[in-house]
Amino acid sequence: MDPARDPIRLFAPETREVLAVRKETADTATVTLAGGGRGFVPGQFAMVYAFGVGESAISFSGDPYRADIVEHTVRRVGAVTGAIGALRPGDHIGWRGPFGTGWPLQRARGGDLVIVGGGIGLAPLRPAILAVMADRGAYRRVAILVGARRPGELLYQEQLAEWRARFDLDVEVTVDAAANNWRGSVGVVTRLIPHLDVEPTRTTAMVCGPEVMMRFSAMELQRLGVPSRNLFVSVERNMKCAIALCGHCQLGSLFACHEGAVVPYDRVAGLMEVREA
Amino acid sequence: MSENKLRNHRCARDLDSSSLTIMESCSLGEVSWKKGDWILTTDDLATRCYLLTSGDVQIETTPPGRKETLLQTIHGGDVLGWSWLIPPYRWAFDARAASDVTAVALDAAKLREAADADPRFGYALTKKMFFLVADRLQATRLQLMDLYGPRA
Amino acid sequence: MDRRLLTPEGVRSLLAMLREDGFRIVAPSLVGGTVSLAEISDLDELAVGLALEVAPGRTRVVPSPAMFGSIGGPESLKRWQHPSQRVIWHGERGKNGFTGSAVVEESAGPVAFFGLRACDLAGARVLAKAIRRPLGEQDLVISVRCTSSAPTCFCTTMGTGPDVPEAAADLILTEVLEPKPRFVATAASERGAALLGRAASKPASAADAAAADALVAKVAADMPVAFAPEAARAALGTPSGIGWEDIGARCMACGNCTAVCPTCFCTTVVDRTDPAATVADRIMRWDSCYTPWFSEMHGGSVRSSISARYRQWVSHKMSWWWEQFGTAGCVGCGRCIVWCPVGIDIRKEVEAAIERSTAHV
Repeated sequence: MDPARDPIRLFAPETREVLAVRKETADTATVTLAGGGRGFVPGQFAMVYAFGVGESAISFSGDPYRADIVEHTVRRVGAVTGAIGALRPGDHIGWRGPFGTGWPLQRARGGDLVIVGGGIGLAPLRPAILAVMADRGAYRRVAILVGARRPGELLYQEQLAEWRARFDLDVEVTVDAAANNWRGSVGVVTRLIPHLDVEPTRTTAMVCGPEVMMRFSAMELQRLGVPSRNLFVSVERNMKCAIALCGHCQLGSLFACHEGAVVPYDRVAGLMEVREA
Repeated sequence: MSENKLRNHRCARDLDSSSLTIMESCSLGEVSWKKGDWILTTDDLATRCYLLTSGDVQIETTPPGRKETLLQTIHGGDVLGWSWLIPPYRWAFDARAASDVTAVALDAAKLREAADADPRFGYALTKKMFFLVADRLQATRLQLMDLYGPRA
Repeated sequence: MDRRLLTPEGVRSLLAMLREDGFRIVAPSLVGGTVSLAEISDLDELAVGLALEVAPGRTRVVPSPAMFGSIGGPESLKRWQHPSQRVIWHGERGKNGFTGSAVVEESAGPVAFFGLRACDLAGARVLAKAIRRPLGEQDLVISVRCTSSAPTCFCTTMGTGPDVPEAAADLILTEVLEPKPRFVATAASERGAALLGRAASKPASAADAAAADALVAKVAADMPVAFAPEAARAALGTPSGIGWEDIGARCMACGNCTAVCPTCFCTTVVDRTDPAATVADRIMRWDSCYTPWFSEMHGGSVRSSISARYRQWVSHKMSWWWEQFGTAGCVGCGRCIVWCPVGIDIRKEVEAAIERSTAHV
């Protein structure tokens, strides 16, 4: 074997200091790490390594224009994300990235833009929203639809409130269930789609959330008249190496870590609906 | 004015002209509610069908001994109420204006009569209501799936 | 190319020369109760005169009149191309977090692979693309063309054998037993020619060459074609979730097929630490898409049933691999059939999938 051509070097993480940990919900936190995102584009992810525990693929969730820090929003669901969620400022963490594809912001310019985020799926969309707001004039109407399980499980609540107050963004928030003190909408996020005030044929849509939610969002968007080629989703699979080498994240012929995570909906539509249980 | 609102409503947009004319003949004109007003309440006779033109409406219920439960929010462009089509024509839930709301009200009895008299209109109307129910059912199923919850 | 005739002793002398030249030798050997490719330290470890009698889920070592009679042993070149376990990173916790660095493999010296079949070489080519690591340039390949086949073989279906393309090897041998054992040798590279030139050989007559070619041609002619690869590609490209219940009931998801498959490349990385977690080694090791954790995401496996995992494996081999790497992911070696503890035959499963897909049209 030829050691010089060994892709193993690509697995080595750099060490980064944790600057801040902000609690988003009961099980989700946003971690700020020192050092920039190495020019990441919104939609990409990094491999975050908890020493001695393991690695997890985590989307960038912060401002793509910040060169001094990166942010990752992590939901505690396993050993690695649990260890990341338990970090305190001053701790260190392993990091390598950026990996994968980004949202088609360039392609969306000059048209209407619809962003649909469900649950933790809002995290990979946040850098796209921040990029759009930094260059708001490049887009026509911009609508952001946010769904969550309950009001307390909404991410970035302060920022959501700021976005909702703006006159150049249509921001709608809905939850699946709420107590009577909730003043927003109740219902699934897909039901907000028929009410969008956009020109469908000139609309690009970026959708991220659970697969079922993405599938129904795509259906509603197409029913509204948005061409399927203008629909983009972020597919989540078990990304372990991030360089299309380990095989874990395959979805049909697609290596989700490499050809995704952001893919045209047409690329995965047939694969997302296969019974796997 | 209300005729235009009816014609432009999502629900009426692709109706043929004779069906549209019949629907207009069932119109009771524009109605509006202030935020917080009750629009309809459980078990009352369902005498009207509302084509919401603006604002948000909260569909909710308050089971005995429990706090009110928010079920679903519907918006301008949606249709409020289908109990008027199904005997015994009584509302199954409560609806309250979650913001200032405007709507075109249709006379339910007239709609039913017209549908019986003209099956062509009846089919068009039933299809509209079927889409509406299917849409709500699908949304309810997605809600039931607890998509964002921890995986079982 | 010029063809030479070697005696069995002449073939042994090739190996001795390679040893002297500093090559590690990988050749068929009797290990673990079976005949398999293995690194041998002594020429006596070469499995001479032994063959494997194989069937779905069964192998037995039997005597063979041929020097290289065995087909279907568990190891392929994968063992050397793609180590089953290796430390890729070592880290130590310090005052300010931790430091670490990649552990890049040192070459243990060039390898001479001896006795490789056409399917072995095809497997190595297919695997090299997936892991983005070709065989080392210093490595040497001496191939033996098949003059017999096993009932589990289907290289002709996958278009990988039994003949060996010259570009795939340095030296290609064909064993002819009648009237007396001898080898027809073809040098397929300069290094192969140089090696052959150092051994005692004589020119092969036209009759010798024709006899050798006829043996290989007969193997090809006698091997049944199991299915049409294009039909398999189409049938498994858009996978239906229906129809896999039966295989799900038979398959035990043990992962033997992925372990013996020369092209299955999937790996995982696990951490190994001391109790105080002051040091950590990150270890890359083979993984299998049959394990329940393979597709795990936040607490649940994407493919929770064994049926879904079998479908994933066979669809990847026969269909999606084409889009990813430009070839099928199966080379028809039959190892997965031989080493499956319940004798699941991929040929039959593919055939059934093709049938289902056409039945639904």
